[in-house]
Amino acid sequence: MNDWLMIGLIGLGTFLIRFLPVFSGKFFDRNPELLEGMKILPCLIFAALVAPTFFNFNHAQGAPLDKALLIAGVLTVIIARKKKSVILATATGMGSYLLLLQIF
Amino acid sequence: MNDFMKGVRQELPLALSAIPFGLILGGSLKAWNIPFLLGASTSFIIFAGSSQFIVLQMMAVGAPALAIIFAALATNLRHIFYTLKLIPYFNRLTLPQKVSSAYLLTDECFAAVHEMEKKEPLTFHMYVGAGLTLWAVWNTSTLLGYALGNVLPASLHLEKTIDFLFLAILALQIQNRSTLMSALFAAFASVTTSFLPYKMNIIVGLLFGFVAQRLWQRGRKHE
Repeated sequence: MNDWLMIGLIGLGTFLIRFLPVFSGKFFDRNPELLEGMKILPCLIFAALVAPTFFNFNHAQGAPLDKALLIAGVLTVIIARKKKSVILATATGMGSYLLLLQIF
Repeated sequence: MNDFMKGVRQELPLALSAIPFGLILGGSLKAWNIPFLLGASTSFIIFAGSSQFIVLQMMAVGAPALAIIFAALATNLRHIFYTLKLIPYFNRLTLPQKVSSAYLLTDECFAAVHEMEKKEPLTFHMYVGAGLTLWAVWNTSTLLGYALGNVLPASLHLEKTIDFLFLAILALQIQNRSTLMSALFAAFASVTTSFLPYKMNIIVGLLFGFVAQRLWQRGRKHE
């Protein structure tokens, strides 16, 4: 599929997600479980996206775990949980990764 | 102060906090080998930060279009809550006003207008003031990020920024045992199926995590 068409479809879909509930009446009141289930989706997508990057078990190619990335990832999680700041945690992760690359 | 400026004032601190993310998004385009026009256009066509990151990252690793569309829209489903919360406001609008309000509805816009609504009835101009402020700041920071990304050296590994950003967002989204367990299932399924073509492991992880969460919730109800 053409990249522009794909971006356009995602844009249209995103707009409809924001727009159509205006006309949903009592549909979501009658289906609270559906709403509850949707809440978790962003969290699951982020988990599925990042996990293979940090745990790169590509045995077929004999690729080792990237220790620098893994340690920097742990530091990112700790800072995110302690300081509740995405930007600070991201900066910590990147900074420590660049430092650790000098060691490993 | 008129209603539009009230919206601008309420949104401004939130919009400023979005600047680093716009810079990262724009700055990553070169590292991901995504054409500038295509990458930057997501900021006004999609206008939803998290899903823009997901779309561009999945494009960079060659994921198929259907998987990208599915992941992006699943991420944006949370916006349904925002519209539902704002239905009394939407019901007061004309159709063109409904359309423009829906387009501008992001996490940051919702946070601002929800606060304003607690103090006084929300008007279209207040809403647009808030929404357009974020829109302008987000698009400008994406462009600035691209300009910066072109002058920073490759040794800074800017392409990794997104992985740490996602990890930080994920760490903050885990609020209870149910989300932790579901996220672990999603992560485990995604890692163990990472041999699948077209990055389908992401969709497998999403589905496994979702099923795990549903089963967990059902088990809690039966206790």
